[in-house]
Amino acid sequence: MTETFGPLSPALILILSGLLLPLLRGPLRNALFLFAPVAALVLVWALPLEPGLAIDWLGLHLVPLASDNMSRIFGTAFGIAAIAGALYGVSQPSVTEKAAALVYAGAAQGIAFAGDLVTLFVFWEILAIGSTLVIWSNGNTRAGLRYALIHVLGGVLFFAGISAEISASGSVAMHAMRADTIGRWLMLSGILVNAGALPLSAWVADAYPKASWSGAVFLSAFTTKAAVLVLIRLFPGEPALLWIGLAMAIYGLIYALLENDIRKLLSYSIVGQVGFMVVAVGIGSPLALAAAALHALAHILYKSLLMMAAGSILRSTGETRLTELGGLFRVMPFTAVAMLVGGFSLAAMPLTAGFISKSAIFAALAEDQARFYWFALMAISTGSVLYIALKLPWFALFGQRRSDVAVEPTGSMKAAMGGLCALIVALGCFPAWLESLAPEIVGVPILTVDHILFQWLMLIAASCIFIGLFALLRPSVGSTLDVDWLWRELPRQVIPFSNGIRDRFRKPADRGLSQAKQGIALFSQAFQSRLRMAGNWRTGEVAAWATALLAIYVLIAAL
Amino acid sequence: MTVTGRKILFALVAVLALLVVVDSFVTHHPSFGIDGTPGFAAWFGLVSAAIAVVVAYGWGLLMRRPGERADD
Repeated sequence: MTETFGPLSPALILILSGLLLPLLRGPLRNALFLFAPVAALVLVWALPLEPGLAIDWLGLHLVPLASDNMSRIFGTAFGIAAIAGALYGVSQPSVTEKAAALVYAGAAQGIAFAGDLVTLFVFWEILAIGSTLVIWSNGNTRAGLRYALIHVLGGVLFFAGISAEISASGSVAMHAMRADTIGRWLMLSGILVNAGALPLSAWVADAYPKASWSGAVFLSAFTTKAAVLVLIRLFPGEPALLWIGLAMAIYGLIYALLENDIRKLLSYSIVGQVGFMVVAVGIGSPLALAAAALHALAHILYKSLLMMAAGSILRSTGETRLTELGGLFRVMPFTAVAMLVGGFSLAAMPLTAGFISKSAIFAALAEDQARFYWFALMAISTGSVLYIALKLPWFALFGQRRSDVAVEPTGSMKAAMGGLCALIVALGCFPAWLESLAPEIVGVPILTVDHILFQWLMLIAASCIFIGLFALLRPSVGSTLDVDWLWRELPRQVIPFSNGIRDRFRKPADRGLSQAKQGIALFSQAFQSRLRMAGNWRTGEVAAWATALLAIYVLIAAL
Repeated sequence: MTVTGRKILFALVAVLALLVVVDSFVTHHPSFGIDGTPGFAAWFGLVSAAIAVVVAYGWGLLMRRPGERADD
């Protein structure tokens, strides 16, 4: 197989297909949209687990395609997400979104298989461009611009850090490091911007819900998880990641509990779950890194499924606010089951993929004796049950119906959701495949009686609190202030204030301006008359004045 | 709380109590000692979920604004 495909990159297949897609029409376009992600996933598994072709370019030793166990885990996750996303969104009429989605998925694969810092940065930027176009293709220019600006900031930080690292070490090789120089802190900051870390986490919930019903599925899978992979490669065991990840997990929990819009809730939840992965990267042991990678894989699967269910509801009802939804289980049973399976997996219910990956993270924390982070993340994990497995289904799927269902999900949408449901449950029931992907988790006791019972006790305890404190969890129309207030709201408040100041000074300024205009007009009249007269000056007079000026100039120069 | 809510809560508490009893007969593999005590997950789950709700509610009182943002 390898001999047949050679060093062909999964990224190249997807990016070239994305660029070719707008040139095709009808069934051929859809066929390419569906085929390219499948071919990419085949290549992920066809590549041998070793550094690929090296290229020396401008004195830089580039390795654009290097496969190892970690790139295979992330490449598989990105590949499955791209296949499921393409199947789900094949009926999406926007060709721009489809093309951008393929480029975006390709860039994620490029990051997974990048073997040097320069290649990594190139795909990092293509990822930002692809994802921005996915948002823009839904017509949300302002949100897309905000998203692009945040990622430009992240890209600049990352580039500055990479430049400093290359100039210091003289090498573009990717290797584990600590944030112990300014350059490395810049690099870490740039990666954390993409991961959705505080204080700039708000971009996730601002941008992702602005994409179309199908575009948000792609967005939920790639950017933040690609950042987690880069953290695994460059900053494993970095102590700062422990509290950064914990802060993300707390932020995601609190904001998701308060949120009324399903897709914003899921976006906040992305930040929270990525926080779990970031803490695991901060632990840095082989088990912790494997657990972070597996949680990224599981998270990509169940969050794609949840975004599909949310997109299906949006497409069918035109609504994603919990206050305007309800009773959808009866009219959209397939979507409802998808939402429940995705939610249960995020809540780490036994026999789902999320249970396996979260158990591995807690085993890694226990192995490292990270007592504080173990208890804190366990508490946050219980809290996440409240919004994803209880609040979301309760208000969207059950109770009184408040929205009409205009269109049913298409067959391809159901197939994508059904496939992901089956995969999530299969991985939860038979974790052997995950263990073969990440052999570090083999010794972790996951499907044991005490561990399963532990998790059930947690879930039922959270359910008791949900019913007992129901009044405090009822969704309400509104928005929760976040750091993005600085660039979304503050300018709106400052501009009227500045307009008031301008109006106050307008009358005196206008008076002064009109006087100045009169003065200029008088001067202009006199100047024009002098110009007209200039044509009538006698040649002798002109020569005398020129000689005098020249004499003055020579005199000044001589002095 | 409605009558239905009270019934659901009663049923959940009953199931939780039953599972705590079952937990007493299971061999645990604790990581930090306390997490291996029978019923730990039940009381830890109740406390942490309650704290999450109260903290989120408090944060909402401070930071939640009525109405949606301009281009949301």
